[in-house]
Amino acid sequence: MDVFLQQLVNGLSLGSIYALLALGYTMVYGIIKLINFAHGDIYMIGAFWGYYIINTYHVDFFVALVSAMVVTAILGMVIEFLAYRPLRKAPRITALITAIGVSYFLENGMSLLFGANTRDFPQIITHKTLTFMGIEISNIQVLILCTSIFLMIVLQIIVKKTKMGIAMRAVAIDPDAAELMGINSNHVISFTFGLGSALAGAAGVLIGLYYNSIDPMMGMVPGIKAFVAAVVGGIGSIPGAAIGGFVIGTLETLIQAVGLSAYKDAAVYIVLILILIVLPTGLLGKSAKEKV
Amino acid sequence: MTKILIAQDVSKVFGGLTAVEKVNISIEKGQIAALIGPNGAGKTTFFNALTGVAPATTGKVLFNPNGTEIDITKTGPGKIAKMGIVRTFQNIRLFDQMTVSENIKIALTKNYRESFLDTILRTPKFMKEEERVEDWTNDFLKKFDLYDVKDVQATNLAYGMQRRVEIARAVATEPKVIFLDEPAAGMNPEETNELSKLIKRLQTEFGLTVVLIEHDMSLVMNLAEKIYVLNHGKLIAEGSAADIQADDAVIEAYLGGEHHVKSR
Amino acid sequence: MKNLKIRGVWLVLMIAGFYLINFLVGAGVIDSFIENMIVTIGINIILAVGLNLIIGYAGQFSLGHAGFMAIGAYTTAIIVAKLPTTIGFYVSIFAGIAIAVLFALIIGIPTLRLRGDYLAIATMGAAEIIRVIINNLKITNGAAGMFNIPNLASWPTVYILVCVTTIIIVNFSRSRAGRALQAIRDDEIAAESVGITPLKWKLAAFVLGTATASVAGSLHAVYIQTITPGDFGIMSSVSLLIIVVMGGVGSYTGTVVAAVILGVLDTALQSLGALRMLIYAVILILIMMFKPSGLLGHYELSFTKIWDKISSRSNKINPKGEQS
Repeated sequence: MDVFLQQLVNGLSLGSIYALLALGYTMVYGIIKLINFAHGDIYMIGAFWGYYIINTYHVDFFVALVSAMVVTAILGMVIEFLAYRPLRKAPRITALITAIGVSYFLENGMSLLFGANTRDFPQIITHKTLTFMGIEISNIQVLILCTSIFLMIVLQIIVKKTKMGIAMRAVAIDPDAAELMGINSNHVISFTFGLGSALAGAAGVLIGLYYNSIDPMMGMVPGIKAFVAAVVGGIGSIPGAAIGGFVIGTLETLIQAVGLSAYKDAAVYIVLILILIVLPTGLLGKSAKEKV
Repeated sequence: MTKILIAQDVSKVFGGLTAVEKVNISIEKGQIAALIGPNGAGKTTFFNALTGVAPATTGKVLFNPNGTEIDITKTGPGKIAKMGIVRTFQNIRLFDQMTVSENIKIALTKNYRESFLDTILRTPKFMKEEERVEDWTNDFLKKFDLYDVKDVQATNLAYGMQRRVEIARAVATEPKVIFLDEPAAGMNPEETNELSKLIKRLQTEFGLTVVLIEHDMSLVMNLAEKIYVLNHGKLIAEGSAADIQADDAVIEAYLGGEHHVKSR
Repeated sequence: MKNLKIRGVWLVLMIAGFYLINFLVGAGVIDSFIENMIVTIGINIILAVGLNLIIGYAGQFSLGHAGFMAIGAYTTAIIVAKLPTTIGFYVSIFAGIAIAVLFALIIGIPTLRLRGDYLAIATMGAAEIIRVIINNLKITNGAAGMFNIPNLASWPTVYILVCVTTIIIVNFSRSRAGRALQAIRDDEIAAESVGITPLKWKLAAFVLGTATASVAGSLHAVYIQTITPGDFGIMSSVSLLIIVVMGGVGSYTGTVVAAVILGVLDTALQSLGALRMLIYAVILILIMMFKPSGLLGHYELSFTKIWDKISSRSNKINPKGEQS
C-alpha cells in the first residue's frame, strides 16, 4: 500500500507537468482546432530560459518561473502571429504541417545555438525529503504540485470569470458569431496562445528542477504524451486536460513501478485507444453528433 | 392495398425531452403520403427514426417490401438504404467535389460486378462494367433532365437543380420508398411546380412510395393522398387533404393561441 | 481504344524511365550516393502514395504509417536471415503484407469509427505500440535492431515495385471504390443514405495503404541492411505526412513530386548537420504559407485530359476529324 501511495505521489508530480502542457494543447485546439505540435518545444524554451537566467543572474525560483512564463507567452504569441495566423482559412492539415515545421525550427535552432548536448539544470532549491506517513516526498515534488495546481486554479478563474475568458469560450464555440458580437478573434486567439505557452514555460522550469537535465529535444516526447493526455481528457475541455495529465502521469509511473517500464509508452497508448473506443471524445469531451 | 411501412407507437426521447410520442402511421404501397406540422413538431426527428439515422427510443418500425414484414427499428441507415428506403435531406447533401454524373454513380456502388483484381488490373470486365454504368447513368440522367449538366460539379448548380440531383441520386439506388425532407424549401414557385411534377413521376413512372415532409401547403394538398399532422411530437390528425383542411385540431395547431382566443 | 493508347503512353514512360536510370548508372553519372538517394525516394513514394490513399481519398487522417512499414521491414529481416535468397525476399514481402493487413484490421475496425484528429492520435498510438512491441521482442533483437541483412534488392527492384504499387493504388482510386471513398470523405451521412457502408470502404483503403507500406518496409530492410525500432517512430510517420501534404492532399502526382523534391533536398543538405533541419523547417513553413493546398493542389497528371484537349482542338480545325 505504501509503495502504491509512494508511486501515486511520484505519478502525480509527473502528471502535473503533463497537465500543464495538456492545458495549452487543449486551449489552442479548442479555439482553432490545431494540434500545436510546437507546444512541447515551447516547454523546452521555458526550461532553457530558466537555465539561462538562473546561471547568469542567479535569480531565485520565483523570478525564474515568472520570467520564463512571460518569455514563453511572448514566444507563443509571436509564433501564432507569424506562422499560424496567415493560415487561418487554409485546410487544417496545412496548419498542422506548419506546426510541425515550427517544432523542427525551434528544436534545431536551439541545437544550433546552444549545442545538442544535455545540460545540468542549476539546482536553486536544496533538495530535502519529507517523510509523511511512510511516504517520501521531496520538497521539489511538493513545489511542482502546488505550483501546477495554483496555475490551474488561476487559469480556471481567467477562463470562467474574466471578460477575455468569456471571449475565449465564445470564439471556441462559434468564431463567426463571436466576431459579430464585437469580439476581435485574432486578439483572443493570440491571448490563448500566450496563456497556453506561459503554462508550458512554467512546466519547463519545473521539469528542469525535477529531472535536473535539459536538452533541445526534451519537448518532443512529453509534448506528444501531453497531447495524448488532452485527448484522453476530452480535447477542448480544460478540466479534462488536467485530469488527463494526472491519469497519464500516474499510469506511466505505476507501470514503471511494477517493472514494465519497457512497456510504459505502449500502456499509455493502449489506454488512449481504449478510452477513445469507449468514449470517442475522451473523458469530458462533448460529443458533437451532426444534425440531419 | 398492402402497407409498405408501418410505425407502431414510435417515440423518441432526447434526455428528458420527448420529441416524438407514440406515433402510429402506416403507409400504403405506391402512395404519396405527407407529414406536416408546425416548426418543431418533431417531423424530422420522426423521419430520422424511420430511416435509421437516429433510431426510435421505443416503438417499432416495420418494412414490408414484398409480402413479409421486417423489423427495421434498430437497423442502421446504410442497411435501410440497401433494403430499399432512401431519403433526401432538408439541407441538400450532395457530394460537392463530384460531378452530377459521379453523384449518381455513387448510388450504384452496390451494383457493380467487378472484383478488386479486375479493378487494379483494369481487365476487360472492369472496362465493361464502367461502360455499363456510364450508359445506365446517362440514360437515367436523361429521365431527370440532368444529362446536359452531367459533367458539372454539384456545387456549381442552381439550388433547384441540386435538389433534383439529390432526388435522382436517391432514386438511382432503386428503392421502394423514398423520403423527401422539405424538398420545396427555398424554391421559387416555378421550381416548386417543376418539383411537384417530378414527385408525381416518382410515383407513376418509377413506382415508388413517396413520403414527404413539407411546409408548402399547396404542394402537399396537391400531391398527397394521405396526410399526417404532427404537433408537439404527437399525431393530431390523419386523412385526405380535404379531411385535414377541415380538422379543428390542425387549424388550432397552425394558427395557435390567436385562433383560440378568437374562437372564444 | 483511347484507353489502350493512354495505358500505352504510361507503359512507355515507365520503361523509358527505367532505361534512363540504367543508362545513367552505366555511364557513371549516378554513383552509389545518388543511387542511394533514388532508392530512398522510391521507398518514400511507395509509402506516401499509400498514405495519400488513406488521407486524400478516404479522408482518414492516419499518423501511424511508419508502424506498418516497421512490420514489413522486420518480417523481411527475420525471414531473409533464414532464407537469404531472392525467393526468400519475395516470400517475406507477402508475409509482411499478410501481417500488416492483419494489424490494419485489428487497429482499423475499432479506430476508423473515430473522426479526424482523434483517428490521427489513435493511429499514432497504434504505431507506437507496434514499435514498443518490436523494441521488446527477442526475435527482432530489441532496441539494438537487426543488422547485416542480406542485400537482396537494388534500384531496379525498387523501381518496379514503385510502379506496381502506384498502379494498384491509382487504379483502385479511379474506380467505384475511389468514388465511394470520396463520397464518404465529402459527406458520410449522405453516403450512408445511398447504401454505402463507410467503415467497409475506409477499411479497404486503410488495408491497401498499409499493405504497400509494408512492401516499402521490406525494401528498406534489404536495401539499407540495418533496421532499428527507432527508424519507425512518430517522426517517420510525420515525414511521410509532410510529403503528402506538401504535394497536395489527394494528388498522387503531387506526392511523387514532393517525394522527389524532399529527397533531393535532404541529400543536398546532408553535410550541414542541425542547420539542415533548420533550412528544411523554414522551407516547409514557407511552402505551407504560400501554397496552403500543397505544391500541386488537386492537380493530377492525366494523359486522358491531355488527349481530350488535343483531339478537341484538332476537331475544331477539322470538324469532321475522326475520333479514334
